Amino acid sequence: MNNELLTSQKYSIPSYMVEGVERARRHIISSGARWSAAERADIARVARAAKAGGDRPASDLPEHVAKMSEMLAASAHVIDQSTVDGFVAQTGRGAEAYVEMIGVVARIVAIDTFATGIDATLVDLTAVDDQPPSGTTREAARKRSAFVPTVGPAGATTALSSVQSEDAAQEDLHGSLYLSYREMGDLFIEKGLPRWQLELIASRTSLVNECFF
Amino acid sequence: MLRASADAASVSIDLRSIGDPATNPGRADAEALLRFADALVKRTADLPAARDHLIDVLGIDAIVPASGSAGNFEMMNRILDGAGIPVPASTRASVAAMVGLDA
Repeated sequence: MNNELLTSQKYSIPSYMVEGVERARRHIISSGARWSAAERADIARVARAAKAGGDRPASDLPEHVAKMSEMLAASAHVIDQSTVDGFVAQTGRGAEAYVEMIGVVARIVAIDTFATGIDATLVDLTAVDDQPPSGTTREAARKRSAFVPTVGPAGATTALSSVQSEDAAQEDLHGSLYLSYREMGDLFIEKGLPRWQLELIASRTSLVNECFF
Repeated sequence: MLRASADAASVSIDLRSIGDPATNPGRADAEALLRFADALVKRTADLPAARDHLIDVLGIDAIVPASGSAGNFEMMNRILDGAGIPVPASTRASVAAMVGLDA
């Protein structure tokens, strides 16, 4: 397996982080609700290159899908409702396909940033199955105040809730790289660094990404 | 959350340094963390030096959690902006003022 995070000797990486990154990687390159494993792997590879400022790699993605992958990776802050509506109409797979793309792109950027920070080799993104998309989404999701449907009020923990597998993968990686949703309630927690130091990094990261949530 | 967690830890830090690189946060550890985050998220050539500096200031065990935090918020920023999760104007204004930005 091409995953240097598992074998890096440079830094001591807790097993929960190694395992969490590997779960995220496997999820990214497996078939999803609206996209096949090969499509998801292509979306992730295009996003990886965009985040790194590199050239777009060859892929079988339609041009508008590749462009959306790049936008989510490199300039998500400029996306508005009309951007989303246009993409959903052109793609023809429902708003859930866009939600799934957000999840795939967000997680590959997350684990690439983590790997870059610890000076490790980026994880392999070869698709692991040839199954068709499952089509499984949550019927309870409704369009509310966000660009996409959510189950319950739109917020940080419900943003991807119209696609349960993406919602769960977000929560899983959040707990692996940072704090679990339960740990978020503890202002005194120390998880490698004191809470305030973790949040200082978070604040500057959000500033660089021009995200004001 | 940063203000609350810093207060909880009785840590004094100038939060304007988050939005204004010319403002000194007032602590060597905070300065090292901000430099590392900048270099990592922007993928600049300063990353190796910023990493070494962070190790000098906080120790080698700081690199993994600092990288994990940056990684997690790279994820969350894209999810929130991509999904269009609304931020109340009042929240945006108060956060901008706190960290030294124009709302």
